[in-house]
Amino acid sequence: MRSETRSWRQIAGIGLLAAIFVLSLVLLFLTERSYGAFRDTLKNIQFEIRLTSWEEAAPQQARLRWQATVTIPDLKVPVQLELLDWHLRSTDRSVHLGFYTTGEVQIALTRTTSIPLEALLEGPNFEKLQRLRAESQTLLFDGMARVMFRLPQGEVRKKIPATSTFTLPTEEDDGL
Amino acid sequence: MKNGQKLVRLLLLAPIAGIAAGASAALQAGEFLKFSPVPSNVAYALVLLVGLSVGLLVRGVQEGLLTSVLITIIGTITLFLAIYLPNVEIVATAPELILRSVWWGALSIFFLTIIGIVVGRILSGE
Repeated sequence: MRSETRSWRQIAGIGLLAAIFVLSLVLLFLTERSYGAFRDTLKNIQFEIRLTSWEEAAPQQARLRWQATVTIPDLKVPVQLELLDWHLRSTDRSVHLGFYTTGEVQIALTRTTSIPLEALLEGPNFEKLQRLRAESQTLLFDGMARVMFRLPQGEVRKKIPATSTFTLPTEEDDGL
Repeated sequence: MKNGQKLVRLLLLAPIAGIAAGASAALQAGEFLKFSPVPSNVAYALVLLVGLSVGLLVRGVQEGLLTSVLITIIGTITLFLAIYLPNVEIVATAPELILRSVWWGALSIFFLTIIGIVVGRILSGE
């Protein structure tokens, strides 16, 4: 009677352990695969920021417009983006022209998404901009975006930098 | 003869149970939880079941304790590798992120395995 109990226990123990061993490895494999795909997606997100227009809206006031193009080559899970804020600087970062924001607007991303951005530079920032423009200096768009991945067990949020350089047309260019 | 059997049992059980416990614990570790097909309580239940199955196979309190320590060591190594390998670049800059998950996972493996072994021994009538 005692040995029968022992063999039943051993079969149950070995069977349970083998089942959990296989199940845990399968679940870990699926998790790692899903996580790997997420990391690849995150690594391959590309920002291209292009200055589309520049105008002196009023005396001591300039309006700059950009087109931010977000490309995700391998989109497998729903992703939303929030462009938190961005700074305008000279490329050597010695002159700061203020920081701007689009507000808490969330944009659902597809493989290629275009987002229009706008900044109004006034007062001292406008004067600094004019000086940099006269020196034909390259400017830096230095932004930060938050991407939010909707996953079965919740949401993952990651901040990624969005930077680009651009040059404003000089007064001579305007004249041509 | 008995000691030899015990050693063979230990050497067979500990790696299999350790890997299973480590893989289960990894399912709830840090950011992995969001990508896991199962919620965290299922991951903990799997670790507990590893302990239970071991509890049905070991004999005596001393052997149970020794097996749970070995399972914790092997499980922690498995957990560390499971988190470290897909995050090599992140670990280089922020090692505390992975260490916190490994530390918590090791504690969970140890205590849940012990509880599982005790339950397994009780079910065995010891």
